[in-house]
Amino acid sequence: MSTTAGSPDLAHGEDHAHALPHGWRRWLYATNHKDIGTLYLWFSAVMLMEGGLLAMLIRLELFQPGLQFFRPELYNQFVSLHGLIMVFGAIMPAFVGFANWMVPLQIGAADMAFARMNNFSFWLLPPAALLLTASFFVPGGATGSGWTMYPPLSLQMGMGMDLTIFAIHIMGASSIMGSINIITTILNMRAPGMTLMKLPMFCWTWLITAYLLIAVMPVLATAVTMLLTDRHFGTTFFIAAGGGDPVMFQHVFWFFGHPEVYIMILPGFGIISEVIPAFSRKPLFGYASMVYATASIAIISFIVWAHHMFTTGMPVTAQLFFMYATMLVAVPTGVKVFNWVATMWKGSLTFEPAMLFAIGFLWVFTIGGFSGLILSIAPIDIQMQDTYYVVGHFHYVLVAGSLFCMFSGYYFWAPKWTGHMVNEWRARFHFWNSLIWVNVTFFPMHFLGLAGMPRRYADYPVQFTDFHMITSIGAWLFGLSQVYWLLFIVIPNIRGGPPAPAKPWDGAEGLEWTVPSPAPFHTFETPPTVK
Amino acid sequence: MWFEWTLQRNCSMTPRQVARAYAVLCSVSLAVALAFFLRGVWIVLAFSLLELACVGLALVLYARHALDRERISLSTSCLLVECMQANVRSQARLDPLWTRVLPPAELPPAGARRPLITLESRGVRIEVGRFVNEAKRRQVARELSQALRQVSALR
Repeated sequence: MSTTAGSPDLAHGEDHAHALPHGWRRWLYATNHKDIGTLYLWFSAVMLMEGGLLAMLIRLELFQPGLQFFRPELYNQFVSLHGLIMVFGAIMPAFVGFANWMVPLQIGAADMAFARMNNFSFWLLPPAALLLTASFFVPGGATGSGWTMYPPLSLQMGMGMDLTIFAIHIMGASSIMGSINIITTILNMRAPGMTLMKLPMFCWTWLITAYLLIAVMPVLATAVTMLLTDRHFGTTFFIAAGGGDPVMFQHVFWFFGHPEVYIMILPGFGIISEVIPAFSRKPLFGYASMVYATASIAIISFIVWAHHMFTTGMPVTAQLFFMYATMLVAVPTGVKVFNWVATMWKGSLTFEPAMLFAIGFLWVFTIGGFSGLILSIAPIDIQMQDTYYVVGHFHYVLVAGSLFCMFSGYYFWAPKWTGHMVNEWRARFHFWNSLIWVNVTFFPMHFLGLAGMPRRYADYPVQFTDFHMITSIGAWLFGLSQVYWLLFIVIPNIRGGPPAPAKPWDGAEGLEWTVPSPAPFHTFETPPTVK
Repeated sequence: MWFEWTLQRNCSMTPRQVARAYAVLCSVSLAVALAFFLRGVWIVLAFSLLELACVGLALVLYARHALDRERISLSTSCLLVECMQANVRSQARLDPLWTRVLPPAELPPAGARRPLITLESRGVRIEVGRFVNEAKRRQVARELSQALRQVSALR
């Protein structure tokens, strides 16, 4: 007797005997998870450069006090679009790209569950990005109300705000479709023997992230739809003169916004949980506790939203609740950090670029975590609200956190994607520059904030000049380091380099290392058995 | 003498388990939506219902075929082919002495369907192997032909 479990049709329902698609059709009609993953990663790299360019312009204006280059309105547009592009265009799609490439390879599936929907969810993104970018060129320019789009300012914006609302709706729909695909793939298409508690941590973190996305995307859609109807259809949800309440927008927005922060970091935690064991040559310490900690972070993220709103006025009991709930996040996050450190403890460590970024992440993310803890304390937050301390904090979490995770994942899996080893000297150069300049950029922001420098201002009093200059120089060099990464590491790695073996890292474990490098167009047509 | 082949999709969760996972997802999403609904923000509920309907549809589409399988049982007296597809069971009994196995064509004509294993017996044609890939289909066709030869030698 023989039992054969198979992947009958590739999820795209095509015969294996067909010739591989090529030319523009390969990308436009892509249904292969690797091609779609590549598209996502390229899209997010382009968005990273666009958002980064806006950051450079912001820092250019802030290099000296006074208005040098841009009108304050345009400066506000740069700030707003920098945030929106980085959050919705760079970080989120990058992690979906990682998921597209790695989830099927890690669980031994031939493809994602719904390959055509996968194609659609990617191709929704470029029009949304075009809408965001085009908003600079419509009458009134882009939205200047920040990535948070608070009314009443967002209600007073020109047509650029409508384009932003439309773009967010489209990107939200794309995220939902991506999540549906990831949930169905991870739940249903695991190789025989791969129980949930044998799932690679990257898949676990993405499964939990996808649940989070499904839970909070309707809330974001609601917030921007209500803005739209207030702007054009006569409702007064957020207009005090009509009986509405602008603070309600903040509640709705941050109910989405805070889980969104974890949506942007949990897949990164998954990457770090793959990289550290590989270069420590030890299994991940406390696998089960890592899974439960990730789930706990996701659950707690629903009950902390109002810590963004301590200054809007709320009862002391509510302040206490949100303060303590926010502090609670430190417990599962601490579990994760200690588990990563424990994984390295007495491990046979080597410091390849992926590991360097993982260790760099541990250090700088922990700084961001601690400044978050400080901000969670209501009396301190009331002092620090809307200052550069907050800007420093969330850039430590998102740049030094999410972005470093992505670079770690890139250096870890690039040989599998391209079939070439990355030039190690260049990668190390990229790492040290990123690590130094990220700190030069964002650490002084804490001092600026403590001294009272407010965020979202194009000008500032002279006493802030020194720290702003240091920050600007750091930011430009950090930005240049990322251009170096794209031009001198990513592109040369795609074009050639020393051939990568199937398993370039001797401590790496997982099904993705059982297929050749680069991963063939079709993999795991017959699912492997996991023992 | 008894031979059996089960050709099935790889699905790591039964429809019941998927339903449980969906229930967890719904409970989280609907709890959020209901909380907003009770505070007067009903649009969240509308978006949640729309989104959960999409998720549910996707899971149903997948789960409907989760238990699809083909079972080929060969004894000296009977070649039984059972097929379960989208909860519909079909069954055919063939005489092993009069059954010919046509393996999947090496090079199907352009635009042709995926080549399956064809079992032909006294004018009845049955195609099997739709739940496995081409290499497995060829392997099963080979094993089945050998087994049929053994059975006919015994009779």
